[in-house]
Amino acid sequence: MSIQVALAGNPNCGKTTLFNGLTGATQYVGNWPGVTVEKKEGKYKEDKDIKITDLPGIYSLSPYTLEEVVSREFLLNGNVDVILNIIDGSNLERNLFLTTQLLELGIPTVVAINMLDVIEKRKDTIDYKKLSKELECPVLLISALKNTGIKELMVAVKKAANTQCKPKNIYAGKVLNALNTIETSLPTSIDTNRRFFYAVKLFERDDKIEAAIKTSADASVIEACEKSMDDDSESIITDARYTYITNVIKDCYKKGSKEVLTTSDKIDRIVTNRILALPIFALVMWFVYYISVTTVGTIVTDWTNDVLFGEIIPPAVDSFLTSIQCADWLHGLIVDGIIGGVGAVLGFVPQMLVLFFFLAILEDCGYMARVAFIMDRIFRKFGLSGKSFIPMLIGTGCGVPAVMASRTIESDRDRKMTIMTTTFIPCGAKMPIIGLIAGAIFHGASWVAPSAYFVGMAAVIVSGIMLKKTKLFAGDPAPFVMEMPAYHMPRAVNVLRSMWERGSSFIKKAGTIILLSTIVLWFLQGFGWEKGAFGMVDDIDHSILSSIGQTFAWIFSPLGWGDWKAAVASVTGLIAKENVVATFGQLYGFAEVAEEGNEFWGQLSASFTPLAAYSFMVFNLLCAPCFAAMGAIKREMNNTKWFWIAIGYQCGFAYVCSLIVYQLGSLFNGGSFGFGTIVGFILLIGLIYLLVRPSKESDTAEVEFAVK
Amino acid sequence: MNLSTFLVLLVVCACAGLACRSIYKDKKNGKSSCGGSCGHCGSHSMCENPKAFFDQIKKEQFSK
Repeated sequence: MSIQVALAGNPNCGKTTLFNGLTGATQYVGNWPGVTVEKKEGKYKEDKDIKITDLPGIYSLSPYTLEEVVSREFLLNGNVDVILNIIDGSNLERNLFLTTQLLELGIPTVVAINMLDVIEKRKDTIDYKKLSKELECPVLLISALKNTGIKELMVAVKKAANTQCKPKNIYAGKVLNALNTIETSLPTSIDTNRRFFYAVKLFERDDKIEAAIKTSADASVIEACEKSMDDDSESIITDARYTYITNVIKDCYKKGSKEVLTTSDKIDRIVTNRILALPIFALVMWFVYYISVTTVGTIVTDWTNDVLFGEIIPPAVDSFLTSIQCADWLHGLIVDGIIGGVGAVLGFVPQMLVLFFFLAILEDCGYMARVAFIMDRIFRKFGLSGKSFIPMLIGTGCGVPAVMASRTIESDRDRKMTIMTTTFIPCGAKMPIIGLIAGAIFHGASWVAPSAYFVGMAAVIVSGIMLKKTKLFAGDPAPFVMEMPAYHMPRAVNVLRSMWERGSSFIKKAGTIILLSTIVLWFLQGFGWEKGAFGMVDDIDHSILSSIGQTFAWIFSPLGWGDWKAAVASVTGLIAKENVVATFGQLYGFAEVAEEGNEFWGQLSASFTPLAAYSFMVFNLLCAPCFAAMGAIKREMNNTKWFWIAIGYQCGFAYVCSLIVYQLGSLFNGGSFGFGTIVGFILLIGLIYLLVRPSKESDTAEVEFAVK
Repeated sequence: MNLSTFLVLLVVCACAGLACRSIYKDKKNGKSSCGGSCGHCGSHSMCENPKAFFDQIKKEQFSK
């Protein structure tokens, strides 16, 4: 007989770690709340009859958030045989709040107190047998991380599946009387075990439950109770729960040492300090990008570019094709087109892997959760919730899931604004652009790569301030409640898996989208009209690509890179951002002149001044993302007008920033004062005005949800 | 066109064909070009089948 087990618990209490341990799955485990937004299913690896569903972390069964809706719906209608309630033992009181609600569902429940290691370390004691007696359900101590007590837990789960369970009543007096009255008035069609839960929810005036069971409670019963207790019904229930919990843990839980700060607390005192938090964050990110792009990453990337794609692969393929007398055009396609383009991109894989390795460490140890908290303080000042930082955190990997992650933001305005700004954060695909500019133009200067991250972050903040002052986005930020997970040593499996998954996806992309793009680009840059006839061209300036590029290259002249090659590279970047580098690899003759790989860098370096190159990098970091991310934006906006507003804003903002960087940078570098400088100053003044002007208050709050 | 050119061209076409097939398959399965691995992502069905996922949410959250 199969058993359906639902894993339920607060965010970041270790559900996904336990789920992975039980099922042998490799679900992503992030050390910040909200990793699981939807339910996940698997089978217990030692007994395939036990189906386990990992539910999103929730604090209650009230439908305030998307996670709570998903979890509650499954618990009520998912034919659950046993609820396996995971409790963070280091935070018993708050975790038991959900337990009291789960016990009202009338489903057999087994409570697993997780983080046994943390409890022991703190010298806290939990009398789990007494707790079991109080809660009237099995309670066991486990450590999901260290795989302690898991077998015993599953034995208890199996045993519980064969038992009948009544909803637990923790109420007394007037509240209980009111609940009993409501329960009696419920239609007889409602299952006996669910009646008490529905009565509590109807007492709380839960409109979703009212709609689901098409019944509402007698208002006079609730009002009478509210009047006599001088509180609203929801608060009455919450108060009753906490009174019960306080009584329960008084007897079952003893703190080992009072007023002693944990290691996490001590670290947090420094890293989330009001003054030090931001400089520390800046330093950490500078270090991560510096190591990834400039030091360790560069050493390996240099080898990949110079040796692998310089001295080994192109000459070998070249001599092979020559020896078999392969046609010149096909020879060119393979060596100059495919190897030149794809090789230029693959050269940056080592840098990217190092970056992903460090980001995974920061995520896994719990620091990134603190960053969301730190950013909330800043974001809140200009009206954006810290919740918007979570998509940006994901955005360092890829813009597509980052845009998707904005769905958890309830406020429509905040969600739209987050969608518009989240792709400013450099994703993995932009990494080769940063690496190329830092390496080829700035000769590995340590400030270039970190500055790209801070440009992205500044763009988010500046856009947030400006947009919040418009009527379209005005309004108070949504509250952001997030639990700080305890710091722990990053697990090698988690870090390496995260690094490999992101890296391998990048390599796959090089072998698919980039490969096809390079073939098309090779044709466009290799063929054209020369001496009055169409055919292969000797001079790339006579190619089809050149003709196309020259029609719009002038647009970018004020940004310092009006050359058609740079303009074409920016446009091909819309297919996939790595294409910018692949295009340069082809157009600047990576393989053709590559006695060593750096020849391509040298050619590129001769075509750009440092300021123009930086302006090029800023534009490509901030302008519209790749087509995949644009598709995600369109889907999330669920509105063509808003989609174009987002893309238009991103491109416009990128253009303005690049123009200011180039024009004013030129002036401060001893350039002449010209028309471009005036435009640069006007745009800068305009930006400052938009930042400091008083905000336009909106008097309406529009709520809509993206469903396609 | 000599035989070796023909064979090399065949290999290039096969690679391009495989790349197209992979992109088509990913698109058909609703996978994006996201840098993360869908199978391990806690929110992957939002990407893979956003309509079904959000139809359910809409039904629950906004049905009145």
